[in-house]
Amino acid sequence: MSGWVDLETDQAKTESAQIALVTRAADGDAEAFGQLVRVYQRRAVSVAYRLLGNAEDASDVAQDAFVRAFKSLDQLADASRFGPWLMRIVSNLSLNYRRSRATRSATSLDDGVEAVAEIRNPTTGLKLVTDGGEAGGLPVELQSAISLAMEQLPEQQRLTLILFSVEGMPQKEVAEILECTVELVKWNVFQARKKLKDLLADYV
Amino acid sequence: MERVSGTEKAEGLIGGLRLMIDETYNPTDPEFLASRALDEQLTDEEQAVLDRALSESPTLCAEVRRLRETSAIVSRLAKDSVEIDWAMHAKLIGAELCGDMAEVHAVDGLLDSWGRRQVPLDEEAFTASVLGRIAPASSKRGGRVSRVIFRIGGPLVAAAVIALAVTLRSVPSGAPIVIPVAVDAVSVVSIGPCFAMLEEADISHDAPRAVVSFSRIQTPASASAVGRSSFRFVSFGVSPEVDASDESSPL
Repeated sequence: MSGWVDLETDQAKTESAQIALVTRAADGDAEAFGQLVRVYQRRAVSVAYRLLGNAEDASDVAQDAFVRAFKSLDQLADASRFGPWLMRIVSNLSLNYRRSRATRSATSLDDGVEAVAEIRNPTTGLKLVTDGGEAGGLPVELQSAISLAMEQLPEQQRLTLILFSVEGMPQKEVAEILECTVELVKWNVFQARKKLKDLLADYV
Repeated sequence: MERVSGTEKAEGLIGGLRLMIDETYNPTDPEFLASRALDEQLTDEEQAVLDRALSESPTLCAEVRRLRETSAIVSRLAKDSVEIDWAMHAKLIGAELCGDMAEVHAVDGLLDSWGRRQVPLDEEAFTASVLGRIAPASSKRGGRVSRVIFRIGGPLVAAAVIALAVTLRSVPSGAPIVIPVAVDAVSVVSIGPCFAMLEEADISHDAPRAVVSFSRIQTPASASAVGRSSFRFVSFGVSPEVDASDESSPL
């Protein structure tokens, strides 16, 4: 019982500390904003990476998102909602970047597929990959199939699936980020899974 | 529970919120229930409905199994570290060799790798880069405050000094002169040699009005141009109750 109380107390402390950081950052305190960056950078880059499929682009877009967030902090009505608000900026910038990139060239969702060296099992012909010198066991064909399947999902469904199923955010938070209802989040997760199931029918 | 017409392929409304929807929203769709069941979101009643549907339809069972496998693949995308399940890898190779389709399904385990690819991120460099980019905006905020201080405080002090010089001619020696001024920031303003009689003024804020008090402290020869006296800011206090009609105030 006391464990729960402690947990709740810790969460409350964390939240109030974050509110204080956001408030200080809104007053121009770069050091406070730096602490917020440290807290959220991995998730921001991760979300951008899942949407863009390229680590370098993801890092650039995430940085842009932080800079934009800092400049717009005075528009954040509720300091306790900094995280979802930031993720909305990350998502929007990533999707905008995708659209602009799509006009330049067709790109793979997954730069890892292209970056790794390809080898084949001499007996089965099954393609294997090595990553950074360490042998891996994932068929390149399957990697590409998953990437392409994710690409074919409607934008809203892909984003919902990434935020909920991949990043593990609560559906309520996903709904806040996407500015929709929780029920729609559930529905989009289902639709995304259903489409992936059909698109990956040869593998599942 | 709200429903959205399947004919509305562009924008629809659920709960009054904007959304994009391109499929018929059907909360009782057994596969939708199965999807929610994967997330442990079903009520007892909904779970009973799903169980009944599953017991009556082998096709649905197969679909739900594939849905679960797909969901498992996606969930594995979240893993950060690249970890290869060598035992599973060996199974896959063996399955390919013997053609045992049941074992081929074990490929699900290998899909871990797809999601476990690490997102490369040098956290310190990232933070430093962001801070480097916001530095101009940050200092701009501070600079803006400073500019406001000097834009407001400078003229106010200058006006106070001039007013003081004029007023001193009619004020008895030793009597304090109170000049109400309005400031909205913190600053320290030094008065140059042209007003040698005034050494320094501290300007405070946090109130819509403040009081600058001067007093005559000595009479150096250099002060002859303004009445043969020298003065010093002795206080600059926040005083919201300042009476603007105070006759001792020249402003």
